[in-house]
Amino acid sequence: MNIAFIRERIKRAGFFIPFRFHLLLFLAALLIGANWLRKNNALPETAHTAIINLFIRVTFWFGLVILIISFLSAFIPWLLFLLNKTNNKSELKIKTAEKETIVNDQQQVQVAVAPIIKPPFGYIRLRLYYDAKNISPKFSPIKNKPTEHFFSMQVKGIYNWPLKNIKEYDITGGIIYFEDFFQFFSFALQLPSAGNFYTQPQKKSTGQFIVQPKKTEDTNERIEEIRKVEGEFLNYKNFESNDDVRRIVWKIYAKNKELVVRIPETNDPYASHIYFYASFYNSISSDIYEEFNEIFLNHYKTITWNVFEQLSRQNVLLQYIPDQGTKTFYADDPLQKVKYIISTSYWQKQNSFLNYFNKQYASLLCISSFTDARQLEEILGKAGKGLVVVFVPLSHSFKNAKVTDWLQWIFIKPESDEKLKITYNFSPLRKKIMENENRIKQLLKKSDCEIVIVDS
Amino acid sequence: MPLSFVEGWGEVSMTKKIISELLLLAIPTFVVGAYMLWHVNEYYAVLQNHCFAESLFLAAGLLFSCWFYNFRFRFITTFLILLLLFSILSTIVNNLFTGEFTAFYAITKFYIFSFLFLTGWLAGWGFARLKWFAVILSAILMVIQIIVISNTTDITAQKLITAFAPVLVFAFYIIYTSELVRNMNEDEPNFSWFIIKKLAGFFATAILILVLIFSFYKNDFNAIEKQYGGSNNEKQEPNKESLTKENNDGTISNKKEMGLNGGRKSSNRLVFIAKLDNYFPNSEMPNPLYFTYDYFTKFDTLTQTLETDNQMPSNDLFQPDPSKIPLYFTQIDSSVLIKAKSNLKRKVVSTEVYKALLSPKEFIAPSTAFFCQPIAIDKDYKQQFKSAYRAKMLVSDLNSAYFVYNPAGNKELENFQQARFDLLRKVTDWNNVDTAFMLYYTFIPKNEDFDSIKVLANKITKDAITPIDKIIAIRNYFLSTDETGQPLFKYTENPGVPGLPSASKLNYFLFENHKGYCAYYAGATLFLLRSLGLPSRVATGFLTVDRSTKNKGWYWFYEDQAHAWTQVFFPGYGWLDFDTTIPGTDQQQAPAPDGTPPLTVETALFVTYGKVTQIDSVKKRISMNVTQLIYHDKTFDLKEPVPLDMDVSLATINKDSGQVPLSELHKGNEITALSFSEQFKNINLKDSNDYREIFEKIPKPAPIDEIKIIDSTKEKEKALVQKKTSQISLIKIVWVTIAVFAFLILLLFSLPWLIFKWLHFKANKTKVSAQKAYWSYIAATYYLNQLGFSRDEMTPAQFANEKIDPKFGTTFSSFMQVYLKSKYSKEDLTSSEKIRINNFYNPFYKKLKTSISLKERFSKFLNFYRTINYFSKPKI
Repeated sequence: MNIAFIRERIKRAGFFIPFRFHLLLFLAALLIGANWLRKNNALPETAHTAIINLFIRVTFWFGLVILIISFLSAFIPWLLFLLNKTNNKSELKIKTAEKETIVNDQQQVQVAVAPIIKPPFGYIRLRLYYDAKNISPKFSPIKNKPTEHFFSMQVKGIYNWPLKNIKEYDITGGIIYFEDFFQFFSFALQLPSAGNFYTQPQKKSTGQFIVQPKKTEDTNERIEEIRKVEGEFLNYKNFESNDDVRRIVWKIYAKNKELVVRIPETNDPYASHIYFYASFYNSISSDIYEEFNEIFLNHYKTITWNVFEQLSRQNVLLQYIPDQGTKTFYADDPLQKVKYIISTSYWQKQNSFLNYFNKQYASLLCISSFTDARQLEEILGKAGKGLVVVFVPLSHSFKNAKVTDWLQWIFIKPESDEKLKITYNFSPLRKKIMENENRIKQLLKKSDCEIVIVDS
Repeated sequence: MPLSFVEGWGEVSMTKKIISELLLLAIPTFVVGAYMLWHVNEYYAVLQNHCFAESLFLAAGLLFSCWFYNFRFRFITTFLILLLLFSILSTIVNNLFTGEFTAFYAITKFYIFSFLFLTGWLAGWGFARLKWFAVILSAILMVIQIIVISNTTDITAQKLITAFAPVLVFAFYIIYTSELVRNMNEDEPNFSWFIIKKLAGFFATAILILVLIFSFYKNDFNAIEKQYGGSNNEKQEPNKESLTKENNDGTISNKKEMGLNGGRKSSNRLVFIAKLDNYFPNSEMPNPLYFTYDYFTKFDTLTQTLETDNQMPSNDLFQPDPSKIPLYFTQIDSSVLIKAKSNLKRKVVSTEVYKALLSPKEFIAPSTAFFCQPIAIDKDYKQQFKSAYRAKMLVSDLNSAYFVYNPAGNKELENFQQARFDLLRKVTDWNNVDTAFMLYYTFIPKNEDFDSIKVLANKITKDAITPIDKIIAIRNYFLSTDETGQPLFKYTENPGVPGLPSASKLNYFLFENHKGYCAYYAGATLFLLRSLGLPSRVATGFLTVDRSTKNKGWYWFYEDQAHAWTQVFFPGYGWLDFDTTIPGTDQQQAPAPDGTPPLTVETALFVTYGKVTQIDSVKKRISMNVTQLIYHDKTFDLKEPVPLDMDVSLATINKDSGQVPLSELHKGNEITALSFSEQFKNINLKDSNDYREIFEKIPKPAPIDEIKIIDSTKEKEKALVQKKTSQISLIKIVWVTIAVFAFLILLLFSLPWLIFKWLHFKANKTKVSAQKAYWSYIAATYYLNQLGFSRDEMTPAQFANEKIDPKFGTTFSSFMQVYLKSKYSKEDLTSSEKIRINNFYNPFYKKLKTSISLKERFSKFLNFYRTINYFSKPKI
């Protein structure tokens, strides 16, 4: 058991303390105030002392009554909920919105707890357990619809969960808090639940570029006899550079000057798909830079997805080749599948870049600053002109610090990512990344491949 | 870089949050702050009634800072810049105003405004940034308001309640709303409706409780109003103040505070009468003297009032409590005679004071008294007078109450007056007087208002050379007439300007209104004298009026004779009375002709003091242990208590409050017993210094005429205990509440363990196999559950077989087979099965204990949620 673990345990235990710190603070402040008043104004038989003593008594009783009311207002609903829980009547339902991530890295989660009585004038607040060991901040669900009737036994609402990382989240349960109107008391109860969602990369412009599929071993599966399927435009496709020229339908060309080829009955996968390779191989950073790695990963995922998405809009057939195994995602739309795979990928060290990359198929290769430069050199040497290499410099995830930043921080508090930026600027990782990036850039410059460096 | 919102508030958009913070937190705080400032201004004249401007400064700091710190500005650096700005401004202000007083005023004003702005600034920062700020603010506000209100002089229940109730509600409101704002959500539809709903609920609850609490405490407020508010049985007119106050027992005392803030009440009740043996030299003409109660020497610049001061240099005030001195015993303080600093024209004079309304605790005598001896009252006068004492004082030949009123052609008095002025004209300086003494008694604050008083003083006394002439000039100024021949100053009970005469109000009295009662004249005279460098103080007490020609030397004192006047110190002659109050038309009118004084004063021949040891109420006999004795005016301090039997069949029993029946006397009471009996007159003593002989020769039982209960020790203790309990009770309640809370928390956390101990006990002690199996099963599964091995969705057999036995190497599953059989099967258990049941629990428990460390067990047993989880699941 290390200190961090103990601290985490204490923090967890703190979630269940039935009162909040500021109640103690309030009581202490009142006690000190009352004692001070008594001590410094203890002249007997004066109006001064009599008034002070009377006001202390009045304040005490007023405070006590209002505190008892606030205590009961939270405690009774909690007790009733506990009874319901014991009888297995209560449930916590969690649903995530399918639509794309809203602004500010927030994931919308719909929460419903029933049957429940809200503390009068008080609050119902929740925390969600996710990914086995993590726990969300406390939140109160936002009512998206007005309550149907006054005595509604349900708390239903949405939570815009600020989640910065692009990955999959597994919700396993929640803590429900019953809080009084001063939020002095906070009675907690745990309820299991299940929910699963993944956060998705945001939209970002990556610039337009065209990728061609690679020429492939086409002969084996080609149909020798050309069938007549005239009039059916569905059976043709636009000519691409690696298509067999013999299959160009000249009749159509004669009519409208468009080069099309007939699609054979057996789909010729190699000739019409763009094989999209994105490497998550990490040769540079280690686990101790977890915070930076996460930011880099989010940036890389966003760029990779946007490049893929941009290509998919060009009406080309795309095939994403993952470099790691992910859970199966059931969706009809292949695009959604790829989005899921990209979103749930991690930096990995098992599947080396060389193993993963297949120069015969690959039309597009997405690499990051974590890519091993030596392996890249080898690959670039073998690959030829047809390969498009998209390079995502990770150092761009952090904007460069300027001298003025330091000046403004005398007066302005930096935000947490700005704080990270400062630490990043001082970490040895930065130097390593910069060196690797320069080497990669030089290698790319020398190679024959088409190079796209995504700066944004 | 665009400046974004401060972190930690997350969901709410900036504008919405700032607006609600300003509307719900900052503006209400400003309103309450202004309300409190208004109160503070009422009591502290240093603030100079700039309540409105002060509130604006507070609001400016509060609102701006609340808005400002909603951005990500750092507090420390920005606050330092603000402080720097203020220090620069203060230097500018310092240099801008050069005059001594204008500079003082400007800089004070600047500091007050800066302080308020910065206070507002800190509060705004607190609202924007600190989660716990509201909690601290509410406690501070309540404490400040309690202090401010407790300083009020105009004490009425309604005023106290209206001053405190808003702050009390606000203290809780601010905690409530700051939590509300902190948890608000911009996405919430109908947001303002949501807030209104919550606030309405809060106010309804708070006001309901408030009304209940205040109605519960109404009597206490009224009691305070009655005791300290100066409103006696008769309804007092507003803006009326008395120089005397009524005690709980209906007697009256002089007020501690001089009634400078309003008119004074005139009433015609008799307070006391006194026989004063002071006559003009070589004459039989009585020379009345003012009876002094207290001195007001110190001017408090903060409250702008004259105050009494125990620390005054050469404190010559003798203040015994006559009710604490046994009858005919004496209390003497000769040190006051030295402190009175007088050696010229002095003589010792005695007085006898018979109290009617005056509290038995009070001591009042012409200055400078040094001797007090309570005396008995003749039976015929007991109804009229409650208690009496004899006092001796060193008085000046130059002092006389006649100084004020016009001798009106009385040659003797005129000559006396003239002689005394001539004598005092010889005093021209105070060079030989102690500097600290002079500094203290000539102190007045330095500001514009006092400046103008000084100018006036110089103008009035421009023709006077000697100090006494200056004093006479001041008296004449108050008696002077204006251009139209009308008197310049008028005596009025109600000077029209309510509130305390701060320097500015004294200015109003001196320069504009010219109307006031004695305290106004005394206060104004004091400042005029002090501004001329003459050491002076205000004395309070009763003015003495000689109305009687029948009984020379007897004076009657009514409530409207309560008075304040000035005393001036003359080196060698000491403190001399100089009353400058001009006579009012309705003043010094005795409501009724003076009655007959108790002329026949008997002298007690035999007085004892000691504790009662036995009471026989049938035979009317009392035994006491005598510790002190007075026999024929000779006092004996007894080395050891002497028992004395007394016949009290003719005696009256007295307390401070008056005559009481014999049944009021208890064992252990301290009493004085006295006898006027002839039987004590003619006892021949061999040695008049031997008290033993006296006790031997006096009649047994000794005939006693009067018994005075001093302060029964028991009663004293009772009163003390009662006082303590009433003080302690609140603290006690708080502690008991804390203890109960602590106990409940302890119980909560130890509950899992206690439950286990019960189950453990049942599992061990049950003998019948089927029941033993049940309890063993329950205890084992509870223990497992608490240690983190819950059955979850498994069947009990599965749980034992797959989860527990492989992990701990126990025989849980074989026990489970027997247990399930005992539970569901109708067959009886075989003897081997019974043995299995009997042998299961303890080894199982020990095995678990050894395989899980104590630390882990302890921490897991603290988790009562596991316990709840256990009991909320079906057992099988």
